[in-house]
Amino acid sequence: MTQSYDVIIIGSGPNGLAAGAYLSRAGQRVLLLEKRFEAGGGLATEQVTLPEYYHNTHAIYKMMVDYAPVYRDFELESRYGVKHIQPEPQVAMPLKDGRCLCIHSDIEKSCQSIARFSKRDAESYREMRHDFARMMRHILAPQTYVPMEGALEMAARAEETELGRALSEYAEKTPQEIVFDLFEDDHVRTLMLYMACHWGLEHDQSGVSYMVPIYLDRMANYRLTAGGSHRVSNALLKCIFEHGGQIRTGAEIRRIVVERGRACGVEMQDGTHLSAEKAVVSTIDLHQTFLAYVGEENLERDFVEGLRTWEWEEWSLCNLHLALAEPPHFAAAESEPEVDRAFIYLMGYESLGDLLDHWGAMREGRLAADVGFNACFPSVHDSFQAPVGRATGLLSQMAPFDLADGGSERWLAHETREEISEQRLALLRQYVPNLSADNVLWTYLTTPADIQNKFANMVRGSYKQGAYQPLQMGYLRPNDECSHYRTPIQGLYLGGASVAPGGMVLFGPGYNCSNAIAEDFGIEKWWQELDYVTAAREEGYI
Amino acid sequence: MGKDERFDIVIVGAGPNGMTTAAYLAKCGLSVCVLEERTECGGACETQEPIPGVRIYPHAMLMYASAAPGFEQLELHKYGFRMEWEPTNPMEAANAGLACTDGWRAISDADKLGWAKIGGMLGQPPFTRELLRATFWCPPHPSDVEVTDENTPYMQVYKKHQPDIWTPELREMTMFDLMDEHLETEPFKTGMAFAAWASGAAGHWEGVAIPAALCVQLLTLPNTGKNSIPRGGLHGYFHAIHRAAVHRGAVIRTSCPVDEILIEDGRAVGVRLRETAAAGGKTIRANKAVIAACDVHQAFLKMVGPKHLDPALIRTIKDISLKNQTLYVSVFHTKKQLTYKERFRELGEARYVGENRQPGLGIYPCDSREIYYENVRDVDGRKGQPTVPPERALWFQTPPQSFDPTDCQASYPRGYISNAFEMAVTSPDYHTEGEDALDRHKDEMDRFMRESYSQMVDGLDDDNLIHHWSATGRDIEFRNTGLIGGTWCGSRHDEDQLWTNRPLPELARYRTPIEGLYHAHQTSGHPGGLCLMAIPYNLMHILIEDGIAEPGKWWYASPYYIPQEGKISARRP
Ligand SMILES: Cc1cc2nc3c(=O)[nH]c(=O)nc-3n(C[C@H](O)[C@H](O)[C@H](O)COP(=O)(O)OP(=O)(O)OC[C@H]3O[C@@H](n4cnc5c(N)ncnc54)[C@H](O)[C@@H]3O)c2cc1C
Ligand SMILES: Cc1cc2nc3c(=O)[nH]c(=O)nc-3n(C[C@H](O)[C@H](O)[C@H](O)COP(=O)(O)OP(=O)(O)OC[C@H]3O[C@@H](n4cnc5c(N)ncnc54)[C@H](O)[C@@H]3O)c2cc1C
Repeated sequence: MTQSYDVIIIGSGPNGLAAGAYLSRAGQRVLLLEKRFEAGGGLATEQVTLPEYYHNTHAIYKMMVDYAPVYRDFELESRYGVKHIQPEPQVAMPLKDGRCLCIHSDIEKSCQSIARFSKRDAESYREMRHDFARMMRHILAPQTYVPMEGALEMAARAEETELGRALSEYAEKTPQEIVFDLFEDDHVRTLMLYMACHWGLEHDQSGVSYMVPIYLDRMANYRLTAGGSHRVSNALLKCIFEHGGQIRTGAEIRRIVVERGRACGVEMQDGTHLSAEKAVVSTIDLHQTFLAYVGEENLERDFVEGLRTWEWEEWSLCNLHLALAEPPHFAAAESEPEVDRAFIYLMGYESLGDLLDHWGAMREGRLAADVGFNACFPSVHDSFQAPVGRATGLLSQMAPFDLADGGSERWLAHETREEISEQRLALLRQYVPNLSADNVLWTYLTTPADIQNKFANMVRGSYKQGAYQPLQMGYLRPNDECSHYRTPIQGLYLGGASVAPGGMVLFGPGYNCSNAIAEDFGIEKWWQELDYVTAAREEGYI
Repeated sequence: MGKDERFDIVIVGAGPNGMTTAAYLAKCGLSVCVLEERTECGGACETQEPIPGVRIYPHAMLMYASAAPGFEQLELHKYGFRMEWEPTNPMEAANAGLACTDGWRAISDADKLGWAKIGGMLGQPPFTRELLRATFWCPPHPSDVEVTDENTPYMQVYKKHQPDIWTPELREMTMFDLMDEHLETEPFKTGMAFAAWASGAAGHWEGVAIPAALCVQLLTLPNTGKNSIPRGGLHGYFHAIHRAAVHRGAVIRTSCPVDEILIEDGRAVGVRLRETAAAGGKTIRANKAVIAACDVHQAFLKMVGPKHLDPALIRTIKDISLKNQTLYVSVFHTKKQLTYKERFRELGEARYVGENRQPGLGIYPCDSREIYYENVRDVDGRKGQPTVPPERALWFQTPPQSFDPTDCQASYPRGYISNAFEMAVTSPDYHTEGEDALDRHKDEMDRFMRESYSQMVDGLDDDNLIHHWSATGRDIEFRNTGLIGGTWCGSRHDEDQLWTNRPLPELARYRTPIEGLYHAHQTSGHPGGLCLMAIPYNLMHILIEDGIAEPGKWWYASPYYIPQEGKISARRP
C-alpha cells in the first residue's frame, strides 16, 4: 500500500510544525510523522499533576516571540488566539538576606535594582542592554532566519561594521570573561552568568559566545504563552489541517527510502510505504535520521564518521512541577513586593561560588543537595493554568545525564526521585516560606533520563539535539554539508534543532528549511522576508 | 477570527462520542466545529505519563467496538487505525481457564457452547455482528412505539437465528438467569457476571440479561482482536477518528471550554465560550444544530440552564442515577517481572505473567457467585469501604500487550510496567463516608489492592515494587469532566436507564426539548459508556430524520430502526 505526499516531515516539534505549516499553506501535500501520541514535541502542556493544573513540561520561556516569523506569518494571535504574556520583573534573584536583584524589560527599572548592588554595574548594564539590543536586531536575530554563512565570509562581513566587530570580540571570549568585564558585584555577576549560560553554554569556553548577547538581551524579553505552550503547537497544527496537511501520531518509522541517492519516501514498521514526491524533512536528531533511517550504506564513510563524533549536550535539565494550594509569597517581598510577580526566579545561588560549584559538580556527575535552580509560577500570570486561588510551579535545574554514582539509571530510581524532590522543595522554602508541605499538593519530576525516554531525539537529555560548541554551531551545525538544510541525500532535508541555528523554540531551522525547499522546487512563497532581515541585508550586516 | 463565526454544527466536547459525531457530520458535507475544554482531545480515551516516558491508559483501554459500522463508514483504516483482529476464538483455546482460589478451573465444553450460542457464534452463518449491532448500534424506538418482544432488536435477531435463546422472559431476566439456563460451571458464570458488571450492566440486574452478556461478548468474541488493544491504545483509535473528522474539514478547537448554549426563541443557535478560552469568550453560532457531547448534568443544568427548561425535567435530570460501581485502577512499576504463583502455572501458562512481560487477562477469584454477591454488597449495598477480605475481593486485569512500540508502556526501557489491575469500588457520590472517602483511604486501599492481586501474582512486595500508581473514582472524575460521579460510564446502565429509557424516555432519541439541540454523550444516550462509535451512529438516524444530515452512499441505517412518523426515514430507499 502506497500513499503519496509532496513532503513528509519526521517529528512534530516546533520545527516540524513550522515547516509543515509553511509548506502546506504553499499548496504542498504535507504529512507529519510523530512517534509520540500527540503533536508538539517540546511545546507540551500537560495535566501531569492534578486535574485542572496545566504544566508546561518542556519549553516554557519563549524567547523569540517578537522576532520569529511564524507568529506574524500565521497571525497566531489574531487568528488562533495565541497570546503571550510578558511578566515583570522578568528575572528576580531573591537572596536569603531579604534583598532581591531584579531585571525588568524596562532598562531604567533594571538599573535601579542593580544600583542597589553596584552603581557601576547599573551603568554598565544600561550600556550593555543598548549594545546587545542593537546586535540582536541587526545581526543575531536576522541570522536566525536565514541560512548561515561560512565562517570566513561571516568574519569578513563582521569586520565591515562597527557592530560586527564588537560582536566578534565577544565571540572570542568566554561567557565568564564577558560578564566579569562588564560587572563587578558578585550577585550581579551570578545572575548575569547564569542567564548567559543556562541553556547550555560552558562558562569557561570561548567560541560560541556570540550567544551571550542573545541570552542577555533575551533575558528581558521572555514571554509565557497564555494557556500553556501547547497552544502554539495546536495553532500550528490547525494551520496545517486547514491547508489539507495531515499528521500521523504513534508513527513507527522503519527507514527513509533512498533510491539512487534520492530520498523518495518513508517506510513504516507495519510495511506501509509513504512516498514523498518532493522532500523528506527530518527534524529529529542526526543519529536516528542518518544511522537508523537512511543507513550507512547510503552515505560516505567520512560523513558517517563525522556523525559518530557528534557531541550530545554536557548537561540537561531536571524539572520539578508543582501543584500548589496557593501562590508563592517570597520572603524578599517584604521589602520588594513586586518580587511575588516575577517571571523567572533564580534561587540557591547566594554567591558566584555557588553557581561555579554547581557547574563543577555537574562535570563530575555529582548531584549536590543544595544546588540552585530557576523557578517559575505560571498561573500567577495566567489564571487559566491552575484552579482559582491555586497555583502551578516549576523548579528547573541544570543537571548531568550521567551520575557518577549509578549512571543515568539512578535518575529513574524511585528513592532518588523522592529525595531530589524533597531537597529542591526544602531549598525553595528558604525563599518562599508559605510553600510548606501542606501547600504542595502534588509533584511531578522529569529528570535528564526521563527526557530521553520521552523524546527519542533528545539523546542523553539533549533538548537541543546536540551540544553548543564551536564545531557544532553556525555553519558547522550539524556539519558543512548539511547546515543549509540540504543533505548529501538528494530530497532529504534537515529542519530540526540539530541544524543551524539550533535548539530552543526559535522556529529557525523549520523556517529556513521551508525556504530551502521552496527554492529548490520552485514553490511560490506566500510569505515575505521579515522587515528586519531585509534591513540587515541592505545594511550589510548579514 | 471574525466575531461571528458560523458553522452548520457546533459540538461541545471532543471525547470519542463528540469526535465521532464530528467525523460523521463532516463526511455529510456539513461544516462542523468541535470545542474541547482541555488542551488535548480524546476525553476518557486518554494516555497518561505518570513518569515521563512511561505511558499508561488511565481509563479506556480495551476495544469493545469491533462490530461498529463506523469502521467502514468513516474508513478508519485509511486514517491510520490499526488493530490485529484475532481470528481464533479464545473459547477454543485449550488452556483457557478461570482463576479460582485454588488455581485455574477449565472452562467446560458446555460453557463454551452456551457462551458461543448466546453470542451468536453457533448460528448458520454466525450472526454475532448482527446481534451486537442490533443491541448497541440502533437508535431507541420512537416514544410512541411500544417496546415489545417483537420489536426489540436483539429479540428479533434471536428469534430469527437462535430461537432456543428466545423466550418470552428473556427481556425480564438477569444475566445469571440466562447463564444458568445455557452454561455449566460456576466459575465461568461468576467471571462473566463480574466482567459484565465492570463493563456496564451487572450480572444480577433484572431486565438487562442480554445487554449485560453482550457487553462482555463485545470483548470476548473472536472478532474483537488480539488482546483487544489497537495500536497506540484506544487513544490511537481515537486519533484515527480525529483525523477522519479533520480530513473532512471539521474544525477542532482545543482549550475552548463552553460555558453556555445559546438559545433564542426556543432554539439552540450556538455557544458561548468561557473568557479564558484560547479563542476568548466569544460566541460561535450554529446554523443547524448544537450537539452536547459532554455530560448530561453539565449540558442541561449548566449550559442550557433552568431558564429554558421545564422544572420537572430539571428535577428528573438531577435524579439520573450515577449509582454504580467505579473502577479503582492500579498500575505497578516493578523492578522484576510479576510472576504467577505456583498454583497458576499449570495450563501451559508462562511462568512470567504474560508472554510479553505483562500479566494476562484475568478475573479473580471466580469460585462462585457468592463471592460476586459479597463484592456487590459492599459496593452497591453497604456503599462503603470493602468488608470482603482481600482474598475474596474480585478484580480483573487487562490483557497482556504485545510489544508494539507505539503501545503505551513500551517506550519505557527500565523496569516493568504492569497493565492495569482494576477493582470495582463504591462510586464517590454514593460512598457513605463521603465522596472523598476513597482518597482519604488511599494508602490503605492501595495496600488492600496489592494484597488482593498478590493472591495470584508474586512481585508486589516492597522490595520489588518501585511505584504503585492508582486512580480512584474521584481522580477519574476530576481528570475528566465527562466521567461524572467518578464512574467510568457516568450514569448507571440499568433497565431504567437503557435503550428507550436512556437517560430519560423524553430524551432517548438524542433530541432535547430545545429545538436544534441534541445530546451525544455516554451519560446521556443509548447505549451509554464505552468507546463504541454507537451514540454517533444512532444519532445520525435522528439527524437524518430532522433533515440536518444528508449522508452519501456510504451510509446505511440499522435494519431494526423504526423511523419516526412524519419524518424523513434514515433508511435508504
Ligand atoms: C525540560 C525542557 C525544558 C525546555 N525549556 C525550554 C524553554 O523554556 N524555552 C525554549 O525555548 N526551549 C526550551 N526547551 C527546548 C525546546 O523544547 C527544544 O529545543 C525544541 O522543542 C526543539 O524543537 P524541534 O522541533 O527541533 O524538536 P522537538 O521539539 O524535540 O520535536 C521533535 C519531535 O520528533 C519526535 N520524534 C523523535 N524521534 C522520532 C522518530 N524516530 N519518528 C518520529 N518522530 C520522532 C519527537 O517525539 C518530537 O515530538 C526545553 C526542553 C526541555 C526538554
Ligand atoms: C477506568 C476506566 C476504564 C474504562 N475502560 C474502557 C475500556 O476498556 N473500553 C472502552 O471502550 N471504554 C472504557 N471506558 C469508558 C470510556 O472511556 C467512556 O465511555 C468514553 O470515553 C465516553 O466518551 P464520551 O465522548 O461520551 O465522553 P468523554 O470521554 O467524557 O468526553 C467528553 C469530552 O467533553 C469535554 N468537555 C466537558 N465539558 C466541556 C465544556 N464545558 N466545554 C468543552 N468541552 C467539554 C471533556 O473535556 C471531554 O473531552 C473506561 C472508563 C474509565 C474511567
